[in-house]
Amino acid sequence: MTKRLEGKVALVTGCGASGPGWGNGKAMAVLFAREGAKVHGCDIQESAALETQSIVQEEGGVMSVTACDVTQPDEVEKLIKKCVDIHGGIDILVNNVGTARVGGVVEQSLEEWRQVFDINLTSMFLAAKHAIPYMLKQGKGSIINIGSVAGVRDSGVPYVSYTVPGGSRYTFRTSNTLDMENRMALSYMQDKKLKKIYAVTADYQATRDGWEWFKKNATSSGAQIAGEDYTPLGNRDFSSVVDKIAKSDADGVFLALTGSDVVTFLKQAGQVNLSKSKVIFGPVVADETMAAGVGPSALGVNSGMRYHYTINNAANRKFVEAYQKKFNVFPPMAAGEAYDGMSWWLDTVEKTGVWDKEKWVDAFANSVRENSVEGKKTMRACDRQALQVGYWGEVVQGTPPAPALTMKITQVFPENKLFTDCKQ
Amino acid sequence: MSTIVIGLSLGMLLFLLAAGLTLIFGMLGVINFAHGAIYMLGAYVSFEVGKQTGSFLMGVIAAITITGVLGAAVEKLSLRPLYERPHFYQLILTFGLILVLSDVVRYIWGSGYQEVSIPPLWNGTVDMLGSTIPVYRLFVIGLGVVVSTLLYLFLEKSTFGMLVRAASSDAEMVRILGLPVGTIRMAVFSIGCALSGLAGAIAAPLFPVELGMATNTIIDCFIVVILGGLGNIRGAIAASLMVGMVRALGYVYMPSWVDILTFSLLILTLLTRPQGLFFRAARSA
Repeated sequence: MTKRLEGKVALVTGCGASGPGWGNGKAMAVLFAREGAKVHGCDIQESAALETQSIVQEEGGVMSVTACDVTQPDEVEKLIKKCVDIHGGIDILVNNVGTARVGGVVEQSLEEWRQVFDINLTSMFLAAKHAIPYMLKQGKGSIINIGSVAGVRDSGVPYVSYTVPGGSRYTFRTSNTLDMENRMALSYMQDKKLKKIYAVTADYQATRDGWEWFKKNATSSGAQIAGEDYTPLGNRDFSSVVDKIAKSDADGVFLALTGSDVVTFLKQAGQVNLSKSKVIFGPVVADETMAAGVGPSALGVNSGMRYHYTINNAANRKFVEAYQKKFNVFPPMAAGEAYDGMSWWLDTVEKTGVWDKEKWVDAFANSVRENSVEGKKTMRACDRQALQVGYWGEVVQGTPPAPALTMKITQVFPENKLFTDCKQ
Repeated sequence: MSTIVIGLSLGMLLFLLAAGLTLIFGMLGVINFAHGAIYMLGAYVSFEVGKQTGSFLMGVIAAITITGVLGAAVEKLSLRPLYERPHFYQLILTFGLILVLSDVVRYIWGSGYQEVSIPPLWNGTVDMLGSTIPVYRLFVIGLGVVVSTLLYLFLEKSTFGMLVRAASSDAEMVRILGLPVGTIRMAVFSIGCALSGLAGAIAAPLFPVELGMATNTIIDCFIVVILGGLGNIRGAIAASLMVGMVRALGYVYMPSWVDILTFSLLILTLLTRPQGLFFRAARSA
């Protein structure tokens, strides 16, 4: 780094990441510090701000933080004053805090609209209002306001693709998160006492983040990283990568791949008997559909499972029986997941007894599914994620009527092992 | 060192995949978008026949036969009236063929993955140059050499090959000399499709047999065809090996850049030699 901000003081609002990994505010705070600036950060969630602070301090930078709700005038005034008190001035103000609520003008409530404007715009006004007097006194200063491309043009993607605190009111996830699957994979690695891990990760953000999380936790529990490769999504040939893994001294192979990439990898790995010397596992790398595509070399692969027809409870037995009657096969993972979510939703709607989608959403956000096909599920209102047990399994030889290659549930994780507290 | 072997196998596989496309483009001037779909059909036919007969070889033969016959039928029924029309008619036709073939495959085999194992004869590994290489990959290299040699001999040395080249460069003159240009073209299209079918059958044990095959592969094939000089068989071989080598090296040192490297090669070629690296004027084979 060139230390272009040596001697400057920067204030970044929203400097913590709302989820695992990196957010814009976190990245800016760290980059500013790397460039030599003294950074003052604030976040509504103090723990997130402190995490950013610890990164900066570990790198030898200077950063202080305050918890602050930037929609509150007095809090913002105090925030700016504190920055000046600690660092002796304010040269750069980054108004980074922002949020989004999905839905058009007709669907959205006035309350939500005002909330968004408070967070996105009023916060900028307030921070600038209190920072500019200091900047005028210094005779210079920069204010950087962060907006969204969605304000310039239609982003095409509404903010409904995943559930986060402050995400869409109308989005729920009724099945596994990648995070809980990674936790199961980590626990499996530890149980198997794997010491050296080679990772093959699809080159896109979700799997990269997943692997970063896994790597951090695996190394802190004593495992080493033998290698890591990021292959393009839709990669067609893994023979070079497989060759590298075979030559490494890894005892475990962590796969963060999806769909046909998994099948291609396992097929080509099987052709050089990679699984004879290394344990292959990953958050979601196997079910009956994929195993059928891979053939016998899928045997022994371990993976998180989102649903399985062998889950032993009354609701699932009933569903499997009905599914078999209709389609003459066991329900695959996707079918179970889909049925689980849809039946839960429809039953909740039914129970409200009214034709009012807002009431349905409210009811669903706080609903408990005692008898889901995957066991008990509890919808958590804050991040609209179902709390549930997690299934981990292995590809084994099946005996009829099971498919020739089938998954066997080897471990069931209780929900308190898989979910962290909801950050709101 | 083993990277060279892997690169060679990637390259030869690419050549096998692209050979049908190259032949049809070089000799008929038709850009066969359905190449990938025919390749997929070849894989599915070899899967089905291999499963029924228990013989991989039977599967390969069936794949070649069925895609060859299909190619002849497509040429005769739909492509023939379009030679004199602008190129985009052929594009629309062959693109439509992708949709039809995909749905036929989905209807017969469903949308899941199918699995074709390596035949017992080629199933095994050899340790060479510090790496374990599947024998089947070596077989693919060998087959690539055989197919490219045969294709070369056929086009350059056989009488029929001479007719094909003649029909390609001056169809009117060939017709006036009393030769059946239509039949020649039908044969070329049929052979091209059979090559695609062969590629599908050979690739089936290496990749998941699935509907996505049709579109996954076609881009690679086009890269090879463009790099090699449109429709140039020798160019296609050289381009395949080049791409194979670049990819093999890419996977070793920077896997996330593999696609970027491949496309950079293409872009550089188009900027510096838009007619292809191995293009030679007045020479079409």
